[in-house]
Amino acid sequence: MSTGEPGADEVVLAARRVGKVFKTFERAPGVLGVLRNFVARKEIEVAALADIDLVIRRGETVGLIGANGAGKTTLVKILTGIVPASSGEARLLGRDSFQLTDEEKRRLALVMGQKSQLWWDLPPIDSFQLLREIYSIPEECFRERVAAFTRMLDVEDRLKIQLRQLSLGQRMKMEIIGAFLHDPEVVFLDEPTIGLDLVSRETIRGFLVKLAEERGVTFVLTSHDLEDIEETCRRIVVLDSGRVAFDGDLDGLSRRVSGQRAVEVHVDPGAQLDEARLAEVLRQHGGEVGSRAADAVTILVPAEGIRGLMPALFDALPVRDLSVERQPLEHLVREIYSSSERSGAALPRSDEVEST
Amino acid sequence: MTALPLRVPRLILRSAGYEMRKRIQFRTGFFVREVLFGTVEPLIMLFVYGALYASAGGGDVVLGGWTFDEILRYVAGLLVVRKLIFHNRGIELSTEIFEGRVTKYLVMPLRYFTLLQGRFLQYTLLQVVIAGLVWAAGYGLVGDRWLVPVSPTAACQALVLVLMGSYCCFLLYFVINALAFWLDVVWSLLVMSWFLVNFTGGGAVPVSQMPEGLQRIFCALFPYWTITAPIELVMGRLETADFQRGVVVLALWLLALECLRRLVWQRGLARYVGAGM
Amino acid sequence: MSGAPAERRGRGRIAWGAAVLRGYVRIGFVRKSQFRWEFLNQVLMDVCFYVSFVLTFDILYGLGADGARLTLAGWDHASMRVYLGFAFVADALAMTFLGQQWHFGADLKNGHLDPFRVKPGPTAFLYFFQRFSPEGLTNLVIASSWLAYALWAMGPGGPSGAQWFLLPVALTVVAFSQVFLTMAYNAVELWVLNSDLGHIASMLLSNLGERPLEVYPRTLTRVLLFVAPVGALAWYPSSLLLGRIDLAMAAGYPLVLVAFAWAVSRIFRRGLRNYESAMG
Ligand SMILES: Nc1ncnc2c1ncn2[C@@H]1O[C@H](COP(=O)(O)OP(=O)(O)OP(=O)(O)O)[C@@H](O)[C@H]1O
Ligand SMILES: [Mg+2]
Repeated sequence: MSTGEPGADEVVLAARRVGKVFKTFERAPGVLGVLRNFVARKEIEVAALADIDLVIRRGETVGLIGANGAGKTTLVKILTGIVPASSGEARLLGRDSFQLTDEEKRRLALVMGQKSQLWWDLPPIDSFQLLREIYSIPEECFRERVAAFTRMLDVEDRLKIQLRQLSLGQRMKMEIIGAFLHDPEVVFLDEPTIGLDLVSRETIRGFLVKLAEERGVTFVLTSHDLEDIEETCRRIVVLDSGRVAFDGDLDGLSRRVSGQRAVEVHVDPGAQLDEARLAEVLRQHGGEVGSRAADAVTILVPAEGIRGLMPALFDALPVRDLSVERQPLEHLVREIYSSSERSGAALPRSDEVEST
Repeated sequence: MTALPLRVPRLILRSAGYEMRKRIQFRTGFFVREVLFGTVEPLIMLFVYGALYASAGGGDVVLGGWTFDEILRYVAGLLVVRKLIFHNRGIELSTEIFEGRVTKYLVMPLRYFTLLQGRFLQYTLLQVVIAGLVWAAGYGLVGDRWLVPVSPTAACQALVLVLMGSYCCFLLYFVINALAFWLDVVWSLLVMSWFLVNFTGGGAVPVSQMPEGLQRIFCALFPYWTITAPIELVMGRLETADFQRGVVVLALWLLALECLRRLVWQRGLARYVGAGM
Repeated sequence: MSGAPAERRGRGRIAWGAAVLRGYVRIGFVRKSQFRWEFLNQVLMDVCFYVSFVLTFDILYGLGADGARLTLAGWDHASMRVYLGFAFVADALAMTFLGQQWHFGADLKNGHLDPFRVKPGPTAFLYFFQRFSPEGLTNLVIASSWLAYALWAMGPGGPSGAQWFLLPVALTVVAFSQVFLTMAYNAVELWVLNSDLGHIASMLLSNLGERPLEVYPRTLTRVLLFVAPVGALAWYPSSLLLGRIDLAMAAGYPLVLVAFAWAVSRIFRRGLRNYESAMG
């Protein structure tokens, strides 16, 4: 732990009304179009982000989700100082993100699923050595961490193979190790699990959770796999068309949109259901029948009602098998997207400016 | 299948049109590249010559059989000729080989080489126009000190030599590109071959100003007949007999390079497909 | 939390830079143990380049064989050899350490600058030095040998004491300015993406700098000395060693170069604002 121990609720990252506009040129198709482009090009502005307000404190684990093109990657790039914000202000570790000094950069790490930060034509161990020089990591720490991290991620035997000869999952694990070598305080991971199999994903999740717990790393993770987010993050930020559609903890999200549980009850084959009793039980505990199948019925019930409902169900029905499921996060997120669309939060996508 | 004879030229034309479009897509780059490429080196050469002749006393000094006035016109010729010579940027064969994209041409009804010939044709047509413009601009600027052909025949003869030589370059670059079937990297060979073509052709010093020994060697190579000889034809320093000799030399080189091209392409392709790429 | 002070203890910026550079050199060798052909080709290519230059000037000066003593604006054949020596060394230095510059345009377009933006240390330093080239080093040896030969051929007994003293100074100036010239060419790319302008400027200006600057019109000479100072690569070091410039120029010119370096760094850093990244 560093000197001058900062408070646990120290703000690590703060975005205030951050917006980002990209300017691109429209390419007209065809020969005539090319000639026209040659003389005068049509400039288009793409608003990728607008008015993002976000405060992240030390130790928080934040999942950043949103549809394709929602602006997640752009936000990460702004927060890490890769590109400047067009408006508003982003601060990381107390300094303007785009003006980070080496001091702050040493406390920061970024993993991008789409891009490699390691050198593709080198074995990972050589890239790590280079990172050791760049981040001035002491030799013993370096060796310890490489050993520990490769063990945790199960890639010990892959260190000396050229990066381009590794499988996607192995490469990603190496990227993650590379990002954690200098023991960063804030880590951004942009789709680190893209294209990985279930086992690799779980290994990576486990790794992140462990580091967050042991070292108090603050991280921001984007993923399209909501399971990743659920397992690793306590707080969720949903971006929709460049705006924050939801920001709160995971449980809050469940509560806000829906606190429903789905109970799937399988009964003995051919058994006669006592419909009257079932209706009575459901009425008592505030549930309703979601769907019916041959020998099964799915009951939707508020989370609070579940305790009472269960024994009553066993009494009322010839239960053979039973499962309770939380309404999957996927549904919740979909609801958030559609509700933010309804409230008209979506940005105007582009305005066109004629230029010569 | 009766349409086949017609289809090939049409395909060549179409691929030429496509290439043209690609070339003017990035406008700043286009201007800078097309205007500056091959312009700066001759100009630098002129400054160097200016200083050299000045140190020899200026005026009508003759160095190695050339007066400064003649050098001036030679440089003008160089500016025009360099616009006409095909350069290796037009062939991306080596990249396609590396990336394993060559096999797709094998299933096309058209040989890959024909496609590249289309590219050569497009390049040549555009460059003849550009070279004409460069010539006209120079003439407009400096009038009679610019390279003015001694006769229309000489100009035509020169054009024939340059274009034949340009096709030789095209074949040479193709062959070197095709070496990518065996080698990992060929760009350095390409750059090197351009050095050689430029130097042995008279891009730095007119071949006829070089020492006897070098002259004798370089006259047997195609670059001389592509750069120095055509300019001297236009200046009237060479005559129809030389032109005829040039055509023969270039024809022999064309033949040799074409054989080499076939050989390399077939061997390479066999290796390529054999390796299952 | 992390970044325990022990990890950074007592490491000055220079030491850090040297360590990173050493790391880059190491991976340069690791990388190159594979492509043997490429190695040979590239060495050959540069030898070709050197030979064509040397031969060109041999031919030009040889034109005076029948009596006239030829010079290029005061540079006789022997001093021209020294001039070329510095030009070759400058070129080989760029080849050896700054090879990544040829990929800058493409890397900008494809967003490959991202990893360097988040790492500690100047982005330009981390980026441009990452591709150390052993073949460049071979060429550097060849180029230096030529320079040594040219210096020895200047007169009997080889270089004087003063020249021995000035040589390292001159080489430092060459290396320093080559780095910032490279940055300057590539900074253009940050402002006018996709133009190839930086690339072209680089070829054009280094071409101009490879001949004695006095042969050009006055204005152009000044531009090459003070605006885009390619004069620092061959003209200044050879003039310095051969005693062709007065004290004011000898002492003052490095200051010009420092000012240039400062301006370029500013412009480059400002240009990074235009970087839009890509992919993701
Ligand atoms: N360099 C750029 N130039 C122009 N537009 C861009 C650029 N980068 C991103 N955009 C636009 O900004 C918007 C947000 O893109 P961003 O990459 O941040 O989305 P994302 O949420 O990461 O999407 P995904 O889930 O697909 O990765 C998109 O509409 C995209 O087209
Ligand atoms: Mg993204």
